[in-house]
Amino acid sequence: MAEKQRFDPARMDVMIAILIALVSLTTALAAWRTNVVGSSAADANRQGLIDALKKGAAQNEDWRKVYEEAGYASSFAIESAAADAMDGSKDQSLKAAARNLRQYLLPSMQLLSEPLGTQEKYLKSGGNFDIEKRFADLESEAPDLVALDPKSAFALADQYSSEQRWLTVGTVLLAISLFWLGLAEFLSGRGRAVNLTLGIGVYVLGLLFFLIVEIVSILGRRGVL
Amino acid sequence: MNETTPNTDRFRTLVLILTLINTIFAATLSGLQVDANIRADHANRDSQYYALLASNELVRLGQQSAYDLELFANTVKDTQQSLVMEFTALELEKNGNKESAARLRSQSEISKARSEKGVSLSLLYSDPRYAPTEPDGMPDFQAYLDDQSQSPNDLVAKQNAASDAYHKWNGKADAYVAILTILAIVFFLLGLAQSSARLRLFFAGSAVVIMVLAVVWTGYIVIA
Repeated sequence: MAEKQRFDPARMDVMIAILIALVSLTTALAAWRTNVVGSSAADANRQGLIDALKKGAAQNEDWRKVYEEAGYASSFAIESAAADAMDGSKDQSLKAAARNLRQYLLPSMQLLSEPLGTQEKYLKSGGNFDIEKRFADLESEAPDLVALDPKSAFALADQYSSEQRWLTVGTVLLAISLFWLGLAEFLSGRGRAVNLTLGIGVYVLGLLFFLIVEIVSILGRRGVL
Repeated sequence: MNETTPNTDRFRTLVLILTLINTIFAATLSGLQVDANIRADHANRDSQYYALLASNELVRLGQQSAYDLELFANTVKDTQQSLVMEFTALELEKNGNKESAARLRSQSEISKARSEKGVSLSLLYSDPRYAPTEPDGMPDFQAYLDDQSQSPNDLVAKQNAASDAYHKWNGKADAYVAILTILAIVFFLLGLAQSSARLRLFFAGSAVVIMVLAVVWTGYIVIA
């Protein structure tokens, strides 16, 4: 008699309805979490692009500054060579002009060309300037901009996206279990038993799958949700 | 009467199996759709990133070219000036105007000093890839321009490839959504087949036909 009561259709209707409510809630939570992970991936991608933009703007400004310095430095070097040639001339007026150039013009030009045109470390053995070295030094003056790494943000986005892929599969499994439980609610007899068993089975499978994906992914990000 | 009941039950089991197959298919397709969407997003991001890198590289090359070519132009100008003054000094000397000739020769020396310094500073003269092979020759501008355009061209090629990948995966994701919608219709038909004994075979058959079409379409999209 007790066995009969346990499988009483009216009682089963209520039990399945409660089960459907529980699965619906789980599915909603799973969909929310999957969406959060997708948003985190989008955020990381957006951050990567912002970092790339900032870094690019800073590098453009550094290149501009380096080539501006190089322009002044080459002008200074050329005018210095001209002054040397004037000094070497037999013409006294040119010698005087060279003296005045050294006194009035070249110091100002040297000032503009600093440090590329004045520091030994930026002079190559061939006589031209080590522009790449000056650029690297300018970059290192702004460590916050050097630290910007778009590729690491993109790698994080890829990790979140991978998690999102698998969580979606888990969420779909949970949604499928709802479908089976819904059928069990409407059917009776053997059909109800088969649908109910399948619904519970798929639900447990989906839930386990979802939890495993979450744990593995969070561990992969060293605890970051 | 006793013979028809098992038949009805058997078809009901068949419908259940078909529903199970359809749910697995739908789950797989959902996974494929999300995967295609994610790939489209990544390709879209990459295309934007490469576009940014290419534009930055063009800005840098603009600065470099302006510096290299201005230095080269000034060096050529100083060389020409030195030659012209030397030539004029010779003419003046021939006409007996030695004082003016000496002054011009000094000017020529100054221009020559400028030009020699320019040559030592210029990438076009000092880099063995572009430097003239003969003493009074011109730098290899074609090699210089080819090298200058290589890195932005490579970046633009990557940007184009990423953009193409974005369109490909975006198209696939859209097609998967269309197939998922068709599978929803299959679910509906199979639901009707479970509840209606009289038209069970008709609904199940219709569902199978649509499922087969959906499978063929999915296969086509996966391969494409």
